[in-house]
This record gives sequence, C-alpha cells and structure tokens, in this order.
Amino acid sequence: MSDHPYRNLPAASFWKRSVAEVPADKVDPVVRGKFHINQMDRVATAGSCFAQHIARHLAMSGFNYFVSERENPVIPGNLAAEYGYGLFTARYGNIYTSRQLLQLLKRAYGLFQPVEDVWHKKNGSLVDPYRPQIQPDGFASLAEYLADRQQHFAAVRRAIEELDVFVFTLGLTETWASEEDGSVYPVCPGVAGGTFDERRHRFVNLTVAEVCADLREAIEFIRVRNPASRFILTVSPVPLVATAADRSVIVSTTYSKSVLRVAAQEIADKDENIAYFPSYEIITGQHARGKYFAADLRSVTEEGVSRVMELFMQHYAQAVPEAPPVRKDSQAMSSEQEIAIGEAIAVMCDEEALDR
Amino acid sequence: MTARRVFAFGHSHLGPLIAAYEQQKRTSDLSYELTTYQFLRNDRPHIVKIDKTWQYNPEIERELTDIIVELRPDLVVMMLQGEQIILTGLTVPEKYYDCFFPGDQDTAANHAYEIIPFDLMLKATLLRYELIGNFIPRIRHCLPDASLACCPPPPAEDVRQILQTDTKHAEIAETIERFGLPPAPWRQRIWKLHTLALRTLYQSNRIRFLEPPYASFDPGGFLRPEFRSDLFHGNINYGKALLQQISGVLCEGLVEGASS
Repeated sequence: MSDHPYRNLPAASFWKRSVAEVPADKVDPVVRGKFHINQMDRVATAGSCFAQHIARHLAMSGFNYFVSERENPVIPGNLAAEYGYGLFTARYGNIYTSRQLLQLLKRAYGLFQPVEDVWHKKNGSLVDPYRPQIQPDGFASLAEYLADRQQHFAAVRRAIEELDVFVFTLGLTETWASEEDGSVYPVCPGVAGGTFDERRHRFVNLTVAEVCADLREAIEFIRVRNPASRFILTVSPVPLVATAADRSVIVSTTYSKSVLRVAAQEIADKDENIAYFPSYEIITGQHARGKYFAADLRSVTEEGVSRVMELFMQHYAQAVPEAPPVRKDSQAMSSEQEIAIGEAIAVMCDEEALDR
Repeated sequence: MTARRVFAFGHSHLGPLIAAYEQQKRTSDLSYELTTYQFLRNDRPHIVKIDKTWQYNPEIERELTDIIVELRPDLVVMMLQGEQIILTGLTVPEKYYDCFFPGDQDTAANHAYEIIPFDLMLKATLLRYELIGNFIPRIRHCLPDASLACCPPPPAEDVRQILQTDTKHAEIAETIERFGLPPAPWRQRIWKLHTLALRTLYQSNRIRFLEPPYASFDPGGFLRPEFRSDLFHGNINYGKALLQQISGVLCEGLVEGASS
C-alpha cells in the first residue's frame, strides 16, 4: 500500500476519530493553542454579544482580565453593569464589525471624528451613536456626554497600550454607515436612538476583503502602540437578529459568519501572534446537535459558553490551576430555565433592539 | 381654637428642634403643639438586621404608627438622615468624582475628577438610603397628606477647627488626620448630591422635602457657625429657624404634596 499525506495525520484531522466517535462534550476543535497566556498577561476583550460571555468567564477563570474603564468605587457593581462597566475591557458596548473596531481605535486617538456625533432624544437627553445603549436613559447634557466620552477614549487608549492579549469576537458583516463620512453604527440609526434617514444612512454588508483589510489595519494600529500585543480572533456563533439584505435571515447569517470565519483564518494564518479560536465551531458544530442553543435557537446557553471557555483554558492558559466553572447539571435543566439563563446572560446586546 | 398638632420623629437632628420648641414655649405663644418621637434609645438598637437586610427596629415602626394614629397630627415632620460622615463628604473616596447637576453651569463640576453621569450617580446615592426608602412606604398609610421631611443641615466648612473642640467626633478627627480632609467644594457637592437623593426619595412617596433654613447657609453654601452645635448638627438657632419653617408650612395650608 502506497504512502499518502493523510496516513500519519493526527486524529483531529479525521471526522470519524475526532467527531463521530467522540462524546459530544469531548469534541475538541481547538486541538492546540497557538500561544499561551500566563496569569500575568493582561487580556482585553471586545466584540459582539458573545464576547461578553468570554469576558465574564475570563474574569472568573484566573486570567488577568484587563478592565481599563472600571466604574468608580462609589458605584455598586450591579448598577455599574447596567451602565456597561466591566462587560468589556472598556465601556464601548458591542463592537460588532471589524470596521467599528477600526473606527473606535481612530476615534480614541483623535484621528477620526464622525460628522454624526450625537443623537438627541425627545426628552432632551443625548445618545452616543457609537455606544447607543451604554447610558440607559441617555446623557443629561452635552457637557456630560463629552466628559464621559473623553474618559472613555482615554480608557480605550490605555487598553490598547497596556494589553498583552486582545480577544476580539467578530459578530456581523451587516452594518449601517454614514453617507457623509463612512462612519459605521453598531445598530441602525432610529433603532436605539437617532433618526433613520435614507439619504444619510446606507446599508453596508462587508466582504471578506473588507473585513481582512479592517482587521489588518486595526491590528497594525495596536501593534504600533503596543508591539508585544497578541491577538485571538473568534467568530460569534450567535445568528443575526435581523438582516437588512433582501433574503432570509438564515441565508444572511450563513453569509455573515462565513465571511467572518474566512477573514479570521486569513489573518491568523499569516501571523504567529494572531490565533483563531473556534468558538463558532464549538457551539454550532454537528457534534453539538444544537444543544448549546437556547429555545430561541439563537442565544448560547451557559453550558455552551462554559464548554468554549473550558477549551480556551485548556489550550491557551499557561499553568492556571483552576478550570473554569462548568455547569455539570445543565443537561437536566428545563427549557424555561434555559430561556431564563439565556436572557440573563444576553445582556447589553445593541443588536437585540432591532426586533423589539 | 385648638392648637394645631405637629408630630416630629427622627434621630439626632431632632435635638435642636426640641430645644428651640421648649424655649419658645416658655417665652412666647406658639401656634402649634409639638410632639416628638426619638428613634435613638440606649436600651435598644434603632436598626436591626432582618432577612439579611438592615431595617429600622420593628418596635419603632409599631410605636410610631400607634402614636400617629392616636395623635392624628395636622403635620408630620420627619428628620431621618443617612450616615452623616458620608452625607457631608468627609470620607476620602478611593477616586474623586463629580457630576453635572441638572441646571448647574457646566463649569461647576470639577473636571480634574472622574465625571460620573448624573443619573447613575443619583441611583448609586439612592441605594445608600434603602433603610429610609424601605421604611417610608411601610408607614406611609398612617401619615397625613401634610407630611414633610427636613433636609439635614448643610456641611461645615471649617471642619478641622470644629474638631479641635468637638470631642464627640474624635474618631472622625483621627480619620481625617490619617486620610486627609476632602476639599470643601467637593464636600459641598456631595452634600448637594445626597440631599437631592433624599428629595427624590421623599417626593416619590408624596412627602414634601424642606430645604435647610435659608439663613443657615453662608455664601459658600456651608452651615453658618452661629447655627451649628457640632460637626454635623444644628444648634438651638437652627432649631428656631426650623420652627419658623414649620409655622410657615402650617400657614400655607399644609397640603403641598410632593412640591417644595
């Protein structure tokens, strides 16, 4: 029998050996981490709703979860979370797209200032178009808004300059942009503030090339200011709430996730300090048979998040003694419980406002 | 004509009111009779922990409601307050903060401090008054429409000087010696924030909130020396000014609801 390239491949390369014949909760698409994170490394996070789960588990799992914009100690923790503190490294809310990430970096350093800079609510309060739900009742005055934003940008700069590892979860390709200057919004104007104007706002669906270009520029932007930084890219397994493209949300979800998945691989393959972590595959892979999704078939259950983080710890944590908490009892939970947990952990998702 | 009945209850701030009332009763006619109920007693705690939550002693609640039902006062005056040292900004924060008060000039906030959005700051401050916030609704049913809450006195500016002779607050003097004294403008703004929270709390229970007597403020918004007895409390002059305010409210016809 002749030799061939597949003969000596590891089990992970074969479906039967690594998926079909392995218990679902033992399937490991990560195989090996590209680098390790030690307990001293400052790990920063940003991204879509799913990134909040990663942030929460990082904070609980012995990693040095880096929060550069923490609530003032006078503010109690529960209240602070309602205002977006601690959900991510800085109080930037959801960053769904590669373009939004790049835009935030430029804004934080004063290199870009969007024309549409503030939204006014009917009650007179103000909304940050780029963090529309960070302040539940809006800012009371322009002075308050500007002061808060100034502090926020300082925290973003500090995060960029001091992080060791940046975990960015790509969520969407669909976004809305300003016709005037191309600035992108986390949610369509008019949904969580502002007024939609088809002459001023246009729908954009990013391509692989565009996502790759944004990511390259964003990573380079950070590296110029923090040469030792390393990156972990993930793709959110959470389907779109809604699509603005004229087709099924299922088809748009597949497009969006495919683009992000390809872009993440392209970027990670060319750089030893950029890793792709397969959250998407862990949750959506056939082995899971959909069990990591809550009853709405969209929210990821706590069990799913725990599995993602268990593998993250296993392959990326260096000498961290404790494994992340895994809900051993989760299979026994009722659908109602799953929904409740799904709702409880689906916090601060700007995108959710699209379907309210 | 029978004298109007005023019933006042609370903690240590009742002292000046009682002293002033007793003095005025001896020297002049008053248009109302004042009955008071003091929460602080040596033989029982006024605050107890029930179901992991600090509450006013249920005995106090019972006694208080019994008195109000029996007395049927024309006006109820509440003199409850939070922790004085916090209310008057005497604790050094881990990180100084400020906020833009509605209606203030934007320059009033100290931009060298962390600016916290006002609504968040107010919510956080209100949480400090859960004890009062949980208590008022429980006694609201027996309160007359004419009920008001007195704002705690303004903070003192010359704290160090007061503490040289104010032996009651030696611990605070030690704390200030160790951690420093927050700047006066900041202390003033913290008091303003806390009184705004108290106002919000009382007004949400349809109880009128009475600002400190105008004459007791100095131009900087601090308590004038001639109106104070110690670091936190007003003296008999302050009590007299409160009596005048109460008379004014009685003359107004009492019912103002949540306005002030």
